[in-house]
Amino acid sequence: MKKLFLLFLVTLTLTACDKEEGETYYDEIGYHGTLTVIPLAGGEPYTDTNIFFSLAEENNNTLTLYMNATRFVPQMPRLNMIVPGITYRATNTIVSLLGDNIIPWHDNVPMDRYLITNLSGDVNNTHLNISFTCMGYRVTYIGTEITY
Amino acid sequence: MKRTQPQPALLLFLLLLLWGAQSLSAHPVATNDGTPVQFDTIIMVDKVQVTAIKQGLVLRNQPITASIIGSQSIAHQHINALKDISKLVPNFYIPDYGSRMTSSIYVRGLGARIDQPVMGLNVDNVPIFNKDNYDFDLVDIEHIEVLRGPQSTLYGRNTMGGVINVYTLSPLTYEGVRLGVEYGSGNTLKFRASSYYKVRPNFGVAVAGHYTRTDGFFDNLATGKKCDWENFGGGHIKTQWRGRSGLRIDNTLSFSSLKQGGYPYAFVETGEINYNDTCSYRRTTVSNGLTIRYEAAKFSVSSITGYQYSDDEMILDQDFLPTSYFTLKQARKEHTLTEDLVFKSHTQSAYQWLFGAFGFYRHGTMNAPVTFKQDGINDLILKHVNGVNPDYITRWDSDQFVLESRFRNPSVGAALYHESNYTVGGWRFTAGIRLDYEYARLNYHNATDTGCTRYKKQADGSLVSDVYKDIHIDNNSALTHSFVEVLPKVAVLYRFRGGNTLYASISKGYKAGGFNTQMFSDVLQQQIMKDYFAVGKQYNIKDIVTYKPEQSWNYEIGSRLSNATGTLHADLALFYIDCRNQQLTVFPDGTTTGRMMTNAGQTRSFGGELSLQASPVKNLDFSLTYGYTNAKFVKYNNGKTDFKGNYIPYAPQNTASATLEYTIPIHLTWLNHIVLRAGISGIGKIYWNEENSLTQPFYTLTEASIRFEHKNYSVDLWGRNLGNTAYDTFHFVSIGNSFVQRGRPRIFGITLNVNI
Repeated sequence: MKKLFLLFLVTLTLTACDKEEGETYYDEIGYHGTLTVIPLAGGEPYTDTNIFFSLAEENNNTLTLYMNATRFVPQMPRLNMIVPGITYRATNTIVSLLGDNIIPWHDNVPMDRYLITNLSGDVNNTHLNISFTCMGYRVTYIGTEITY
Repeated sequence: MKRTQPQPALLLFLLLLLWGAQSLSAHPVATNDGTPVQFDTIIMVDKVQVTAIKQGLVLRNQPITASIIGSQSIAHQHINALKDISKLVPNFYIPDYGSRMTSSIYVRGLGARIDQPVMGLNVDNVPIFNKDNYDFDLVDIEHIEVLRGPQSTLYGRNTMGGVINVYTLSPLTYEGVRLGVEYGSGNTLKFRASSYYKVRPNFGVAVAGHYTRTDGFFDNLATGKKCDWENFGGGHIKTQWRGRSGLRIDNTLSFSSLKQGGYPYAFVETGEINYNDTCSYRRTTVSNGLTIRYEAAKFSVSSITGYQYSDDEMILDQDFLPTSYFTLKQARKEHTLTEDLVFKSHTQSAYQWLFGAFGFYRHGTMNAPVTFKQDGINDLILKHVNGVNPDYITRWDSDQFVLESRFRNPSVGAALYHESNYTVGGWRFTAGIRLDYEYARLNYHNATDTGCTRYKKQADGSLVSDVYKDIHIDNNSALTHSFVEVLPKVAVLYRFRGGNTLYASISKGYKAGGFNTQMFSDVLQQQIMKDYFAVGKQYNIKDIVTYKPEQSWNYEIGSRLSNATGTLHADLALFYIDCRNQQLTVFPDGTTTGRMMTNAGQTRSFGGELSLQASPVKNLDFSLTYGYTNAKFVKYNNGKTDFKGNYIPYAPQNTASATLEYTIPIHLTWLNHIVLRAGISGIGKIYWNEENSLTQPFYTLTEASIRFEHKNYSVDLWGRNLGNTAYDTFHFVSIGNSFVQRGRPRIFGITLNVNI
């Protein structure tokens, strides 16, 4: 599985790369996109554009989502949050994302009240599409891969 | 929003101009610049010397809207600083607030609170580059010209609203000793002494000195003392030499030293001035202007060399409350060298030309530390940090920390310009163009060294130390930018048989781009939030700090009218200004407290101006001015609100003044005249914010004086704001709180002048 994902990542443009002892490996892919937040209890949806997300692979065969300067309502401060433990399944053209009951992290501490449920999404060679439920909101992000 | 259409008013105005120009006829008055003219201005200038280089002496022959204030008006109306001429010039307003560092000029809807000014200032033809030095005591002034509308073709950068030309007395046209003492409300004391001596018929020297002190007018409850006290002194040495071969050399060396409190800002909720940390301003200036002029048979060459040095320091209690948010210190040193070369024809030919080349070098350094204090740390940083996760709480390890900012800002500029005039019959056509280039660099070093501890809340409510954050930021880099501006101008003037004139002009002006260094404390604050607390977005420093030039197109028609007997003079003008890339402050997306300067705006402004002077009976003079401005945003979204269609804040919609002066001849050996004068001036409506929710309504100030005159001395008893009108000169918001500066209350004074 890991090999499949790495093969897939190789086809993508890189956001970060390190060289160590002549070996090159890829650890993060960045996206710019639009965040749409729908209150599950009803109300006006909130949309935020030009949001930077990135996706990284961990050694335990999971992915970590980095949400940068993200907020779900205008009154909320923009936070850099980390969503670890996203499982994935790769095919030749797409990687499917899944997750449930994930506690995100902010500033190196877990954010219990920001519990993420019903996470799903997919990644192809140009886009990230991910949705989850958090604090009574259905959050959807559609981003385009950043090319440098 | 319905857009106002100025066309019907324009047509009516044109008809009035044509009627007035043809029905009034003026009688010729000899002038010494070789052109057939009647009057230089509606305000007659006494003892005018021919020192103006670019325009020539007779502004009345130019397609320019101008007000000229002569030495008599300056003396009778107690004009001590440029702020005082606001009451005499239509659509021109310099509010008196803050300190002498604050010289925000608003003209025809244009203006800016900070950074680049919209009007240039020249003293004896030498440009004063930094508007923070515009507020000085006017001593021995011969006359002041206020030219409105872009003067960018001849004067370049930062003259999109016009130019103020100040001319001091000449030791070649005036000889003797002048002394002045004034005492007024607020325990205000002014001394002035000068000596004008003609060493030889072609060489004169003038030495002048002045000193002003005041206790001030406004109490700070936190200190129990007046906060707007002031001690200000200075002087100048002026030498003039006239050679037989047409060579003329003028040099003026000036210096001044200022210490003041200032900033009498009252909290709107309480109406009280009540701040606990120091507010003060200190400034030392030295400048020298050297003008060398050679008059050949058919042309003249002038070299205007200026050097200015300023060393100033502003200290502010930025929250203006008895709380401890943060304080700001801004200490600057600046050297500026300017050189202007002007080649100008002066023949009897119908075609006249002017070529010029201008260059400047400016080097400034600034140290601007911001000290965050306990309330600022809690409300501006920790409130955001601790609101994110209720299981943790962060506490700062000290009760204050410093955001250090040091800057070095060299800039250089060069310009070439030309103006042609062609006269045929009663018509005079003017065309000009200027090419301006400017390069600026900002070396910045921003740093902070502080720390905080994050605690985890336990079930029993106790706190356990979780992590210590050693906050260390050291940014050391540079920004550069450069720009080129092309500034054209075309104008046509028609002189009627009697000498009255009608003119129209189209001209472009610009306000230079630059660096808004005030943004760096926001940059550092934001960087702390992002890097150490994972809150907010990182600024792009270049986007935040750098701003481009602002441009305007000015369309204008006007007329100058006089009657045959010379007892009635009138100036009228209508204008329309289209301003692009306006330098405005916006709230960047993704920040918690930040703001940024950017070229976000587009505005339009139209209006009219009237100046009238009449002497209906002997010894009675009446003057009237009125200016109307309708200035609105065409485009301005600050990131939170769209202000399109709203009025531009701080620029008054109406300015008006009326003065009546009656001179009673007294045929005594010790008394020649008694001059009675009464005046009223009005300003407003002024919007204080872009939302147009806060305003200063139109208000009037009355003043009066009685002056006992002898040819060698005078005693003047005067009063200002006699009705004790309550009004505000400034309104602003700091850290979410609203503050105002009240206008000065009723004041009285007595002035003694001795001319030996």
